[in-house]
Amino acid sequence: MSGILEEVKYFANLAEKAPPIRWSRFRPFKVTFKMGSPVCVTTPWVSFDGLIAHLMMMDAFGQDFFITPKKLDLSPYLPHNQRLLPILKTGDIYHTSVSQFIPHSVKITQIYKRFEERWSENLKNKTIRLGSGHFRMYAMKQPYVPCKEVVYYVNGDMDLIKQLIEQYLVGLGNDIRIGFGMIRDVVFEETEEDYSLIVEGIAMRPIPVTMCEEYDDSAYLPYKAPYWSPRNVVLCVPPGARCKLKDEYQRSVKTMG
Amino acid sequence: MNIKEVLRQWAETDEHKARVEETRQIIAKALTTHQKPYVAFSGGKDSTCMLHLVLQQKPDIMVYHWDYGPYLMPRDVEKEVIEIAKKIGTQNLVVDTSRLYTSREATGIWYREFFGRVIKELCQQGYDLVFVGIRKHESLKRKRRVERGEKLTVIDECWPLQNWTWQDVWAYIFSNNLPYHSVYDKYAPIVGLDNARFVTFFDPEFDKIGASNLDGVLMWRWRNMKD
Repeated sequence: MSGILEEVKYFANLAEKAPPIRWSRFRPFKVTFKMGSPVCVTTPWVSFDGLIAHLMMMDAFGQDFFITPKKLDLSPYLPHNQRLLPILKTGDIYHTSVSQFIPHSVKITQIYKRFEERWSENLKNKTIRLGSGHFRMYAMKQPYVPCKEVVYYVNGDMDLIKQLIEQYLVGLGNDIRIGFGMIRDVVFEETEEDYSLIVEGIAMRPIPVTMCEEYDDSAYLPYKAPYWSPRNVVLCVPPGARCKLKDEYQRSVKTMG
Repeated sequence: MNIKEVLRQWAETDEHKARVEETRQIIAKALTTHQKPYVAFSGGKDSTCMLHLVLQQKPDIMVYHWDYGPYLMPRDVEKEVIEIAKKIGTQNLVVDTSRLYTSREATGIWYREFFGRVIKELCQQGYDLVFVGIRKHESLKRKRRVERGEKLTVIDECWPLQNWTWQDVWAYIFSNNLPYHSVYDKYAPIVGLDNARFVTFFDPEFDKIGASNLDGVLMWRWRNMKD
C-alpha cells in the first residue's frame, strides 16, 4: 500500500513541477488524421479528449510517463486547476466528438502473444513451457478498422492541440508498437459551427443522461478520461443517438460554440 | 450468390443428406437404448440443429439450458435463447443458473455447479443420457473426445452431430428455416460464418484469446455494467 502511495506522490510532484500550459483562443475545428495503416480498436470509437489527456501526461511526466501505474487512475491525485485540457467543457464533458472512421468497416486479424527472451532474465527455470502456464503462447483476436481517415470535431485551443499532437503522438488506437494506427499526416481546419457535441439532434460523443432533457437511447459508457476507469462510467446517450441537452447546458453550447 | 444461398444448396447435396440421416439414426438408437434422456441446449447453432432433430423423434424430451447470469450473458440475449428453444418446439424446458454469478470476475462457476450439483440432481431424477451438440470438426480436443467416447460425467453422452461440418450446421438451419440467434448476424460479417460462436461475453476466461477485444467493438453496450 505504501508503495502505491509513494508512486502517487511521485507523480503528483512531477505534475506540480511541470511547466504551466498557456491557452489561447478556443474555437471549433476539425482534425483529420490521414492514416498509413489500419487502426486497431477494442471499442467502436477512439475518444479525442482521452487522447489529448494522454499526450498531456506525456508532456508533464516526460520519460517517467512510461512507468506510470497501469491500473491506477492517477487523475484524482494530481493537482487540480493546473494543466487542464485545452478543450471547451460543458458540464462535465469535453467538446470532442468520437472518432469517425472513413471508410468504416471492422475487420479481424490474429496477433500472437509469444514468449520474449527479455522475460527470461530473472527466471530460475532453464526450460520454459510454451504450451501451458504463464508463458503460454496465444493467438489473440484483434479487430481493426482499415480506414483512410479518422475525423474528429473539437472545440478548443487548436494551436496547443496541434503542438501536442505533432510533438508526442506516434499513432492512433491500440497496438501501434506492431504497426497499427500509423499516421501519415494530420490536417487541422477551423469550422464555422461546433460539431463536437450534438449535430442536428444527434450525439457526437457519450453524453451523460443527467445532462439531457430528452434522449432515445442510453448505455453505461465512460464519458471522460481515463476511459478505461470504471469510475467514469455513467448512463450515457451513446454517439449516434438522438438527444436534447437541458437548457442550462444548451446555453453554454451557444455561448461558447 | 450470397453465402446463405450457397449453404441452402449445400443442403441439397448427398453428403449433407447422408449426415442428417446418420444423425437421425444415432438419435433413434440412443432413444431406444436409454430410458430417460435429455438435451443440453446452449442456444448456439449446433445445439439448435440438434434440438430440432431430437424433438422430431421425442417432442416431450427435457431440454436443459444453463443461464450464465446477467454479467456474462446480457438479458436480452438470454431471452432470445429461450424464445428460440420454444419456437423450435420445446415443451419441457428447464433453465438453470447459479447465485454465484455476482460479477464478471466470478469465473469457473459452471464447472463447480455442473459437476458439484447439477449432475447429482439429474442422476437423482433418473436421467441416463444427454444429447450434446459437439462436433469433431470444432477442435482436435473434441475430435479425440468423440473418437475415444470420453464422457464428462456418469451420465451417458450422445453426440448426434459428431460428423457435421460448419457448412452442414448452417445448411440445416437455412434449409429448414430454423430460428438462430441474432448474435451470429452481428459477428459473422467480421469473423465469418465458420468462426462465429455463441459464447459468454466479456468473459475473463476468454480474455487471453482476445474475445473481449471483439466483444468491446460489437457488444459495446454491455462492456460496462452497473448494479
